Amino acid sequence: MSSGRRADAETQINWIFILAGGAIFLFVIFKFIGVQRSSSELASAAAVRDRLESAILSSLSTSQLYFEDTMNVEDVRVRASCEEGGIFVSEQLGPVDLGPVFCSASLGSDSGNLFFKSVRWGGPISAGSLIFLASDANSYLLVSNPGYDDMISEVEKMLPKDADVERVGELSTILESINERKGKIVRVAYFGEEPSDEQKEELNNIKGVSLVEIQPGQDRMIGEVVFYNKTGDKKAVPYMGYELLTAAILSENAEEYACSANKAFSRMAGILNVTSKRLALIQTSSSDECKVFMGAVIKNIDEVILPNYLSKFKIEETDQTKITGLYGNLTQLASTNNMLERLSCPTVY
Amino acid sequence: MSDSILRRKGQGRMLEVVLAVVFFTALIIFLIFFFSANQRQSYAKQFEQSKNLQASALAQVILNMPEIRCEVQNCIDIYKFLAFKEGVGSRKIFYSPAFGAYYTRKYAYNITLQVIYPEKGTYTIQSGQGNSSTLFEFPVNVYNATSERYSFAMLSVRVYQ
Repeated sequence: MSSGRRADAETQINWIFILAGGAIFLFVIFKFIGVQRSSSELASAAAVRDRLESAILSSLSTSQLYFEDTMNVEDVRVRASCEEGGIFVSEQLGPVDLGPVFCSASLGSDSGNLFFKSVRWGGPISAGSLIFLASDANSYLLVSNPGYDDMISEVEKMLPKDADVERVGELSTILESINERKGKIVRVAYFGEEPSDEQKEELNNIKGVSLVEIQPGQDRMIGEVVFYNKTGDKKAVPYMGYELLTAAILSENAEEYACSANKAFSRMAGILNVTSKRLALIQTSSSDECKVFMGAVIKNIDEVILPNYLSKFKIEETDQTKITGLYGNLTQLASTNNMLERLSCPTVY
Repeated sequence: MSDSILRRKGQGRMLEVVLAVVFFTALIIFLIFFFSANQRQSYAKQFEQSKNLQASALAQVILNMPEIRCEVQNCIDIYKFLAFKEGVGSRKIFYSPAFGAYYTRKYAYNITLQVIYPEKGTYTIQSGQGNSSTLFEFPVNVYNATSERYSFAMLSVRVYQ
């Protein structure tokens, strides 16, 4: 009897051993699968990051005004935050700061394409590029207004060519278009007119839909973009050029737009600073006639543009008048450049 | 057959099963570790390649910056380069938007423009130093706006990581 119990006990101990071994085995397998999965996600994110950086490089070396690229971001959740440092393709990798990037905060559908477009910017001068990003998850509805047709056409041209863009009319057609895009993040842009209270109420109640209103100034290249939020509050931020206007339509909100636009203006200030220093170096060995014009340009940059317009520049604290002044001075720079060219003097840039 | 023989036979079979399970578990765990080590090596290689790619990207960014590039032709404007050198030296942070990702990743770089022919001269912009570095060299045309002449030059970008 006693030897039979011992055998039973040994058998039970063996089974416990097998169960423990099995548990360890399963733990190792699941751990391995987890590590593999996160490694593969990280590798995909790194590939998207490299692709974005390559697109930036290609955009820099092209002589074209625009550069476009479409990249597959399947399995990678892309989110953007200018305040936090740029584009996040993976939280582990940290942000990719591509400079002035304008896009919706969430660019991710789990599977889909990311549309990249770089646009030369700077009004009459060249002050680097703005980066536009859109994805399959985003749609842009431009509300027709007969008086602003040319402006809407310019925006259509500026938006990434593969992005989902549609011209819409009355509220009923806007609602119809939104219904066709269930689950998407939709930006509705009004040109030259404030959306009616009915439109604001109807559209603000739909999840994923946000409104902006473009209020151009006398010269349509300069104006304000009004961002409406779900609570009914609104915030107006200026724009300079159709490039920044399009950038505002692509941006998540007024704060994100302002943050990226400030980066662009900061770059402009840097380039103007170099321009002025370069002219000062060239001036000494130029003819008297050239010296006069060069001196005027240096004075314009150092005494007017940089201190009055671009020093501690914050677009959210700037009004349309100041932007108009800056644009006027930049235009003057461009015309002096033409004059220098005609006189066979070294040019401004 | 007596009970004790049957019991011993049963225990023997049980031992066989246990040994087989242990053997296969060990084999699978060994394979997993082998595969993981292999993958780790491949990721390390990829990471190294990616680091080199980023360093090369920084070199390309510098080469194509409107701050130093000629406006129309594909060349480096010597006076822009000198002006940029002056500006970047005094206000390094100012240029962070120009460098974007590369700056925030705390890369340091030395840019040397060696003008070879017909004009001559060496100009360097230094932003810092690091432990390891990668050197990229590009032949470039350099434009002198006062003499209105183009010279052949080498632009070297040493990226410190």
